[in-house]
Amino acid sequence: MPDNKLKYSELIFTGIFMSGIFIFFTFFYSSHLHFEEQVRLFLLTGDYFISTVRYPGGFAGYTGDFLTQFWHLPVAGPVIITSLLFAMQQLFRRVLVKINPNGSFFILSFLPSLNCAMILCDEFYPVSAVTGMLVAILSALIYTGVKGTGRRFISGIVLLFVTYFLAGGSFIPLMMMMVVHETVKAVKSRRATGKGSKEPVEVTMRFWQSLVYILIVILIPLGVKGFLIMEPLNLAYISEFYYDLRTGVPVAVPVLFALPAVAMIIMAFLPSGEKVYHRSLYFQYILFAAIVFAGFRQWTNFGAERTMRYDYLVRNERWDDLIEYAEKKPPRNNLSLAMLNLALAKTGRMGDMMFRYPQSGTAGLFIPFTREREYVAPMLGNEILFHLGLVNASQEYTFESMETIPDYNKGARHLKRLAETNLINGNYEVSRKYINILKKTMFYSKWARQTEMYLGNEEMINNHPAWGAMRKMQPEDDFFFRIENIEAVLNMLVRDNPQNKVAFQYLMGFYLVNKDLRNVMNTVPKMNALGLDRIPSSWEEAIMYVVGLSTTNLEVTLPFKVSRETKERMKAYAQIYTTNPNAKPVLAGKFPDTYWYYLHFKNPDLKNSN
Amino acid sequence: MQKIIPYIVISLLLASCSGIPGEFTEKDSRPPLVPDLSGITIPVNLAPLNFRFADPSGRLVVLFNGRNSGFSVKGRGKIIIPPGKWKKLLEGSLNDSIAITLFSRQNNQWVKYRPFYVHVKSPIDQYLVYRLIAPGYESWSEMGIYQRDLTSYRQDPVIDNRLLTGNCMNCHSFNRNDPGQMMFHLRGNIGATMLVKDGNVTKLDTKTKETLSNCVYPYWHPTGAYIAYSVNLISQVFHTTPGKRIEVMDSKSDLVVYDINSNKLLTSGLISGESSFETFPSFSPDGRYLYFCSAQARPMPEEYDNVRYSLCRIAFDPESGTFGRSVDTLVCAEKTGKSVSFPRPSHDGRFLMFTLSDYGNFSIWHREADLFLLDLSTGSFREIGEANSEDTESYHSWSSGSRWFVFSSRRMDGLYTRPYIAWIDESGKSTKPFPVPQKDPYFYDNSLLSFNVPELVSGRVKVDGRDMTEEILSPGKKVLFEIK
Repeated sequence: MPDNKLKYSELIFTGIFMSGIFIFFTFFYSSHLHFEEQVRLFLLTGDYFISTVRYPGGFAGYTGDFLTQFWHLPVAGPVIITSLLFAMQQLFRRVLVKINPNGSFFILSFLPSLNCAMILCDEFYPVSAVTGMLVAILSALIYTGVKGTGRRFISGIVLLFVTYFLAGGSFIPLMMMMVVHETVKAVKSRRATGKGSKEPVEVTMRFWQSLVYILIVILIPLGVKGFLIMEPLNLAYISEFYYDLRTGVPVAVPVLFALPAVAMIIMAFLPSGEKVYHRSLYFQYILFAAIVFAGFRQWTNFGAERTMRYDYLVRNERWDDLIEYAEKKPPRNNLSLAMLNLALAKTGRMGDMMFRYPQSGTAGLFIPFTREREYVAPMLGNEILFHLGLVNASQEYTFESMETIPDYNKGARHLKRLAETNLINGNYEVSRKYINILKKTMFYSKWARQTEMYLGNEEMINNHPAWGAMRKMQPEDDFFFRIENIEAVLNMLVRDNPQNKVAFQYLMGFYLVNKDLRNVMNTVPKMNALGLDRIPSSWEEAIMYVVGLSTTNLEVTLPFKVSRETKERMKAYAQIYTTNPNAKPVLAGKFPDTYWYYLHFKNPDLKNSN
Repeated sequence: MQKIIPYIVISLLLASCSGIPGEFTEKDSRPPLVPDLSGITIPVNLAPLNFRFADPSGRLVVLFNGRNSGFSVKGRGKIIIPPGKWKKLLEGSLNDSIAITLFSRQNNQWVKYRPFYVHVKSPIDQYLVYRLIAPGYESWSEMGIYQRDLTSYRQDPVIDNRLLTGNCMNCHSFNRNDPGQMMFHLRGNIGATMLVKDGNVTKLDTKTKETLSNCVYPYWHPTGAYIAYSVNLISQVFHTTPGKRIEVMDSKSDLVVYDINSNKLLTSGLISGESSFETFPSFSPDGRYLYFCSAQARPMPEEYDNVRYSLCRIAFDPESGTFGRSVDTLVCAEKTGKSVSFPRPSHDGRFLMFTLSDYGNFSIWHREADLFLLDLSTGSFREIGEANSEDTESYHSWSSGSRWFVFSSRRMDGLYTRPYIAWIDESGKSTKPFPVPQKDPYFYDNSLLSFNVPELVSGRVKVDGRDMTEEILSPGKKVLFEIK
């Protein structure tokens, strides 16, 4: 007679677990999903399918990438992840029941799903790791359901080959589950025959069966490596679909592989009668909660999540949303700060607002490409260069980023930007190539089809609000771009296009964060070309600071119209700064977002040119 | 008229049994095909030249007629030619032509285009070896050196960075198209020069304290006893205006010759001076001359667009490994106002093909770069107009028999380098080139990889990455240096 209390406990637990996963990925970790989607390129073509599935594990990789493309949509990612983990738990539950039918230990069936949820918090673990494990557990369920030792043996061999082909490395956990299954059954069989009696043939059979499975798992990859695919040993065994970086196998992968078999072994040692162990359930809940807490603490990276949110908003040109987000979650690193500064410049607020945030010199304005095979910095860095009008440099950064994507894939975001830069530069056939590829995707095809209409149509491009403006902003004279020479580059941009507001704000921002007041004063007069109705506050503060160095009369006539408010604030600031021996904390409380405070107390390593 | 009669007869026979439209209108123009096949000359052992039509969805019927046989193929937007029938047709049409007639279904009626001809000549080396890599800036993703069987579509890696994760490899070179004598460089943390000869693999550490860098651009001596290299200090910079992307330049460069037997780098003051940049060496087919490019040294990158390389040569004695006492200038940069790169003599010693661009030596990033041919018997040279395009033509190599050449061109889209093949006759006249055929006519449209350094080889490269792994992971053999 089924225990209703246990049944409901399991239902409620399942509901809480799955809801938790869904809520976590929807509300606390969605930017990670968006980030992962953009650096993959899934094509809805037969060629793409064949080029992926021809490698062992390719089917898991293909299905993983197929599902990942839906991360583009707001809630689809969490729904899919939750569904995959639910399917995995349900399948594994059935595998465990064959070891031990006692329902009191159902929580063990959640371990592989929990582990998968945790590794998905790291952007280097693809969804194919989950689909691969799903294939293995499904195969294990099929295997354990086959009656008759001989038939099961043959099906085991077939399943190992099929799983290796479909899911790559997860044929190892499949083998482990099969061996555990056979061992548990053999032990039970021996116990049933009693001590002292002759060992049944079935037990011996199961031993040899397991040995054959182990040998198959050792030999298949060696055969593939030796005769079919030229690849290193780790790829031959694990395949590239469980971890994006091919240079090594992290500990998490063996743990992922071993967990189902370990859960089966634990299950085998637990009581198997019909008695329901309610008290043990409470213990299991506590233990499971502790694992969840420790595991997610270990695997989540909310700092990266915040940076990815900044990046997401920049990518979608949601400048106001980004500034609003920064009010709630200020930038914690230079990547986020650079994205925020770009949003400020795009909305014309850099001069007024940039010192509300902790500026960190040039590193907070530009993101250099370090040439250390790192793809995030150039991907984010390209956005700044693109909006400055440095189309070639943006293209360079995009290409470098695309070529350093860890799993050797291409990114839809990268192809989109390359299609744009080539379109702006008039390289229509190259742009067409990228557009044609994007037309084969599910979520970028609409954009590609619309962009295709611009190919070769100079008038349409010149009238496009972004691309047309970008063409006008391009430097007139050729020079070699190096991010280390960004000051000269910005000066050339402003010289060639005095109306380039973004470039001008960046130039001023560059001088301000570097405390180069001489060049601030030299550059301010050029702002007339921008048609601003007033001088932004941080620029005024810099001007007044320079004025204050030579005179105590702040009402002196200036070639620039500085607001009364700034002058009054300058007086108040100077009063505290010059009279209070412990001025820093006082000024930090009253004037934290002024340029004066930055000048005096932030980044002291930067030289004050005055 | 007599020449056309057999084609008409075959066409009529085919028409009766191959689904050729009974009613059609005739268009007096050649069909718009990708690639453009009209009037090309192909080797008799070439894989089928599958192609696509301008309208990707339209129904097509194509007749392939040789003098004695023919067949028809149906398709929708593209034509995939049956390999067996194609092979038979080509073999029956050696030193002759194939007529290709295309019918296209347009606006519910069939249109017949004017037939065009493809000429069939002697076989080409069976394999083409190239490096596949994205035409990027400094980073690379999936890449490697691959061999392609030109008689089919099969492509296999010689070595790639799936095996050598994260590493880069380049500058593969063969001795006179011999797949058994090969070298290439590895870059990255296992950087070295890999030498394959007589089935043996040797890893070389070619940096010496006397030379500027590791060995770079290679060329084998015909005896297989030497390999000439340049040693270069190379840098790249990035343009900011739309017309150009990248500039690759040498700030210093010299030449050395590696003596395989003595494990020594040999050089002479005439090819390794401070006052000039020397690069892209190549030996004459008799092995008694070393051709190379030379330019007056200038401050770099400031004067990058004033560096122009001349084509020069110096005598070389293979017996003693010594160099001549003077340098001859064959194509003078001061006279042409242009810059020479990649001098490659034909194996019969009749011609030398080179690339000419406005300045510098890394011509793949120069849209104006074109192929030129120097007649070694007269010293005159001319542009190979038949092969050149509005876009870049750069690296090139000769077939074993010197009647075919393969070269890299960016004519398809201006960025992605594709290998093209053309026939060249005894007088140096080339035919219209064609891209290396692919099974999928959309292959080049979709591929995000460039084909670099296409080299024809007479057979399959049998020593591949699997055979080299152990040697690659061991320390390289340190080469020695000597001034002759």
